[in-house]
Amino acid sequence: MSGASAIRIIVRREVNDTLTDWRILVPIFILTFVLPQLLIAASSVAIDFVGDRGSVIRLIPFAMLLVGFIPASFSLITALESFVGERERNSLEALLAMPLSDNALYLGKLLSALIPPLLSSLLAMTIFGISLRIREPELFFLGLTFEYLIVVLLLILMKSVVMVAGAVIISSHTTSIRAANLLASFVLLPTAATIQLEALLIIARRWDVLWLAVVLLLVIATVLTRTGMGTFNREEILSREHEQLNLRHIARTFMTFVREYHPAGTPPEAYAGTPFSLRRFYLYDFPALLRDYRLPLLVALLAAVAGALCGPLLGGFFDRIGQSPGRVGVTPDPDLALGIFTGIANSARLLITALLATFTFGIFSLMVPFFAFGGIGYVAGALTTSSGDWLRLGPDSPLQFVIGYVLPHGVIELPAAILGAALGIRIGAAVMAPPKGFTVGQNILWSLAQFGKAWLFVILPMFLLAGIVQQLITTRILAALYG
Amino acid sequence: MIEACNLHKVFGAFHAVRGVTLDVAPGEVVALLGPNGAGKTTTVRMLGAILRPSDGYARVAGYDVVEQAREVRRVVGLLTEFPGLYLRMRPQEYLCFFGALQGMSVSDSARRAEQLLRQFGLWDARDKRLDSFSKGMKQKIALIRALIHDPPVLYLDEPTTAMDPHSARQVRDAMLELRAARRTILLTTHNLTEAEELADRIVIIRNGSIVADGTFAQLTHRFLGAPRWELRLGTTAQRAAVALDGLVEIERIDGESVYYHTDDARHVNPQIIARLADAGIPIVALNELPRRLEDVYLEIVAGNGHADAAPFAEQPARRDRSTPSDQSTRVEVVKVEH
Repeated sequence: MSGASAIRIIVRREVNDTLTDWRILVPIFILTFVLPQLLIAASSVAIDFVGDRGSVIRLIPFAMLLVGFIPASFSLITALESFVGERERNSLEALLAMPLSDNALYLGKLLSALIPPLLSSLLAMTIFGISLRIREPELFFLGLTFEYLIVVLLLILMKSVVMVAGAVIISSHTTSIRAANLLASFVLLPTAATIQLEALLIIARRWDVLWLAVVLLLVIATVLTRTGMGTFNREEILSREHEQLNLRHIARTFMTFVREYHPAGTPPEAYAGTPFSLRRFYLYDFPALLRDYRLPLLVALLAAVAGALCGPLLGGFFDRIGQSPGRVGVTPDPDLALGIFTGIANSARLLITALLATFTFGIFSLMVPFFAFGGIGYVAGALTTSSGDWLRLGPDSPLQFVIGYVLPHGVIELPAAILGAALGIRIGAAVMAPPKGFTVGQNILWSLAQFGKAWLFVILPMFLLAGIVQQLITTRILAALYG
Repeated sequence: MIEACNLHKVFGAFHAVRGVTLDVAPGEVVALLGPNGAGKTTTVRMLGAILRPSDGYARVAGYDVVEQAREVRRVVGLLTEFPGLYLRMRPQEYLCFFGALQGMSVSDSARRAEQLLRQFGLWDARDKRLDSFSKGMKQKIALIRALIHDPPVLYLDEPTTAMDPHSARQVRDAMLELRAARRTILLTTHNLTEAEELADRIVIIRNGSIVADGTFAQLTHRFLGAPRWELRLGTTAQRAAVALDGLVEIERIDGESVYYHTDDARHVNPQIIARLADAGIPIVALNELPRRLEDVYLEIVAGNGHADAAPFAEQPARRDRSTPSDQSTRVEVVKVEH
């Protein structure tokens, strides 16, 4: 049986199940058929009350967004209990015993949770549109354009996919419906914030930004779906019956990954248990780690290039944080303590972004090289614009700026930043696709262990050294170059 | 048909299954017994390609449970510990759903569902929703679900739990039919009478390890010793003890009864009767005392036996259904009256 057939069979059953559950049907019916009429009536009242048709007209696309979003939000309920609900009703094992791939099962559940609320949402929007056209034709023609309709439709679709994908991840990683409902706030709060933001943008008629929001939601939906598929496996769902939060075991697994280096996917049981050796780390483990981190390093490098290219577009931001072309030529006095402090501060910043990367799929770590190179790109770009020549040396030369302000300590600091970002990106990606042989938890612990070792024995010394070089050497070079 | 070698399953810090090695021949019915949390269900899940073994390997019908998991799931019918039905569905659509997931056509699964519903006496309830079914009926539906694709291998986890005696009998009869049809069955149960009745072989698992594996007769002999006999006399047993001195090792004397063990009843018992007759001691009855699987199980699981010291490692013999049952598995009652 193909994956598509399996998905179809699961979806058909689940949709039938939803459509025979009056507890879901009744509210969906009300939201689909009654809410649009209420909002149109409210619009009429608002016109009379406010006395300003223009203001109300601006709200029509938002009303349509609400009409579409509220029924769609029911997908959260069905998605949240997609796996954990079946587990609680003891019906999951029979399903897991079927000859289906994990992906087919996951996508079947995801689509099952998505389709009925989304159809209801589309129906509600259609009813709203038709009713508005009949009852308030002026509001319809002035308030809605084809572009608005498309954007609102896509926003609802993307938000629904994001919500469902997030909720299915929660459902497949919790042990009870109650826990899933508690964790639903991780989906609800960002969604509520997004709706508020969209409301502001709709009222401000910033359709260009709303298109960006659509694209951003599409990226998040893709990442979440990919994460869900990567982290879902029947093994883990049933294993979780035995799982308890065993901090001692977590610590032991973490230390196993710290002591020895083996590629991700090597189960802790396969580790030889040899003690940690700094010599082995520098000679063998760290080079092996760099080889295995080729992809995250490439991603970090691309973020750096993107930062350098986008830097000139973010001038206002860099001006505010003191990386301004106007400061080129300032030659600070050497201060060793400041250098050490800078090194520690940079290391700490990297540590925090890596920890935040755990919860943000590595996005925070991507920002490190992006902004580090963004500042350089901004100043160099501004100097190029003013001097008109990259290669000419002088106070307003971008080349001299790079030689004086960036390279002396940057040759140490920037690779450290890229390395740290790559380690953080790997932590963020750990949730999305654990390699064969690892659970999600093991994958996170493994990537945290690699980050911990590399941060302590490579990145911290590099940043400290860069800070010292910056104070002892860069300042002197700057004094020589800029007087 | 089922071959497991040194299977281990570790959940975090919890070692659920420790080196289970099991070989089940085609058509054999093996009962997997053990206390709650012993690792029975985890073993079955590994053999059903639902859980991946942490170590060791297993093959079912020639398919590797890790590398060919989907093929394994196709040849296995799994009755889960809890029925876990979709309660808003009706029996036939529920069964057809699982038939479809097993790759059956709509007509095949409908026909098979009807046949099984009739066999288990549920055809009349075909239009009712599953939430209106009794516990026993739900359990039967779960069993039919496991049978819907006519699998050669069946894993039955507590098949008669929650059933009334009549329904349980129906299910046991169905299992006997499946056994006659040479289906390979791995039966997990706490009902020892059921295991004794249905299984060719008993495997007892404790703390994730197999501590006993063999036919009922083998296990009884190993853990309870030679068959035990009761000799009831028409007079005080003290005289008989003297008369039997040197012939048999007497376990105890109780009023007019003498209790002894012997492996060689065919030869020993006639001699006993002869000696007692010569001594003029009237014999009222000579019985082999029944021994139940429960006694063996408790002996092993309660840790009174030798299981801990030396897990049953020898290759178990299988009961040959074409020959009469082993003598020691049947209680043979001999009554001799003067």
